[in-house]
Amino acid sequence: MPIHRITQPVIEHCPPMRLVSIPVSAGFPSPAADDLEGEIDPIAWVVRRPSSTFWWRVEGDCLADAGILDGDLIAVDRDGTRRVGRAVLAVVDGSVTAKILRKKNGRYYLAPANSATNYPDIEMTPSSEIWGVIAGVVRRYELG
Amino acid sequence: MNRHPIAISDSKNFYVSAERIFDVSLANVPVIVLSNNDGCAVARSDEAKALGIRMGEPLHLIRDKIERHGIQVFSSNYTLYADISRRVVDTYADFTPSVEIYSIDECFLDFSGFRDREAHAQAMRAAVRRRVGIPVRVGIASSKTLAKCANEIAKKNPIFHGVLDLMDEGLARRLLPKVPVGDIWGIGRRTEAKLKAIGINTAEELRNMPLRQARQLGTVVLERTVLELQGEPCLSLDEVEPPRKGMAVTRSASTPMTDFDTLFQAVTAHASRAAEKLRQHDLVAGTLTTIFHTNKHRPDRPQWSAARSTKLTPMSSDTFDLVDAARRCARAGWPKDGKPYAFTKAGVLLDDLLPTSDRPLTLFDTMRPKSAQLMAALDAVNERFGKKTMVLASEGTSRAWDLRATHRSPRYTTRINDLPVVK
Repeated sequence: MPIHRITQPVIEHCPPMRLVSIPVSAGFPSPAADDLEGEIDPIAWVVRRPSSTFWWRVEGDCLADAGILDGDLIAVDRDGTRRVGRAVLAVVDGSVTAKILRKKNGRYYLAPANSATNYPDIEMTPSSEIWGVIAGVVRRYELG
Repeated sequence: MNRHPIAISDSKNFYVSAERIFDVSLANVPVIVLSNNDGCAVARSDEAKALGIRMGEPLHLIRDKIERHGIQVFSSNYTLYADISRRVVDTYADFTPSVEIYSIDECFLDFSGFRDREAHAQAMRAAVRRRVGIPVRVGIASSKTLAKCANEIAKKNPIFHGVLDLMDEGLARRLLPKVPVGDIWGIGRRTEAKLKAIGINTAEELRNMPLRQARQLGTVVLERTVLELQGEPCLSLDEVEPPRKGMAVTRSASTPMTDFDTLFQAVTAHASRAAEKLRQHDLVAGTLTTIFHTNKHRPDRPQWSAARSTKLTPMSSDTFDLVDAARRCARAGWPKDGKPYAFTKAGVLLDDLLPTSDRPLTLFDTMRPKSAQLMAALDAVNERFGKKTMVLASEGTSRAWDLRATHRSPRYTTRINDLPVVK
């Protein structure tokens, strides 16, 4: 608790007196009150482990075939199990990239999921690292 | 003897580690994080330490080093650090039944009941590293002071791989002679000098000091430290956070405040924040103090320091009530001699806090029956659209009094427009 020196007290005079009006409510309690349930929270459904899940914004279409588009928000679970075929965030050469984890001839690769363009596969090296596993995607559309 | 193992887990260069989670280009490069108002270095990566940047070194003294070595500089981003800290604590909770948060990057953990404590601690370290991305180190002993000591040793000696268990008396006997007495938790510089004067230089020598002599030299505080070093717990694991008795919001201004309006803008902002904090904890305050002062390190300039208090009747957490009270106090403390004062710090302190449900009711409580709804709406707007979306107009818009934070990283985890981007 902070100790602060009070050099000179301020003496407040009597507070102003005002009229008091007390609102009174009346009526029956709602018969549905016992059946109340919480609202559905799809975000909580996506984020299964809140302490290890972080949100990122996607730029570019390199996972378009996996249903992840430019501008989407993705939930990334750092504690997700790294499994071949899963969409992951990986750290390669000091930058973060979203790719599919693949395995060919005993080696691990980071592969794009976009048939329209020709992104190359990137081989995992000892210096590259999986940041987390993509747990879900959130997109919204323009209104009005 | 029935001694329970207590662990302390602390994060390595916590602020730097937090910055590195999202900005992966910061790996293996020198990074420093600055204090509030960008004054001095308060966190340094190992690379920055190796370049000779000292803890607390003022920014203006290291400018050329920053330039020469390409040191990455960040303003402190407490919003981010608090979120990361919460995630680290959540992870600890999976490894122990009780966690006591000691600071933003240190927790005491109850480690009793685990057969292989070292393996358990290593599993916990790995989990924090993997889930949150923060490296931590663990010291284990039967008292907090000894656990801190173990943690320090683990920090300095990589051979322990980040975990040191000092429950083993033999190990303690071998390691404590190597710990300088000044490194022990709770031993300040003055006590250190006194101890050295009588030939006590190490933790081992201090733990063997006769208790009576310890009490004579450094009161009951030093006696307790000696007992703690002997493994006797004198500071318990406080499982429940003590109820808040007071709360303070004070800030340094980036440019000195020379007129009442600017000071009042700062005071409005601080009182608003204090009111918000009160409502978050469902508390009301009974006393409010406004403080402001000039720069004490510039004795060549006119000096003024003011602290004025007032009672809040009824006790309140309403932003309007608090700002109004803060303004009256600021007015009362404002210098009347017309000298050109430059105020560098202002703040609002609240005391006499009670849970809202326990507050004494007065005749005047129903004067503004919609106050609670209005405050709930204010908090909801600021929660949804970001802090400071809706403020009292007296806070002003230019914010000349605001903190300097020129190099702050995005609030990656708390603002939708600040989310990290993956390409």
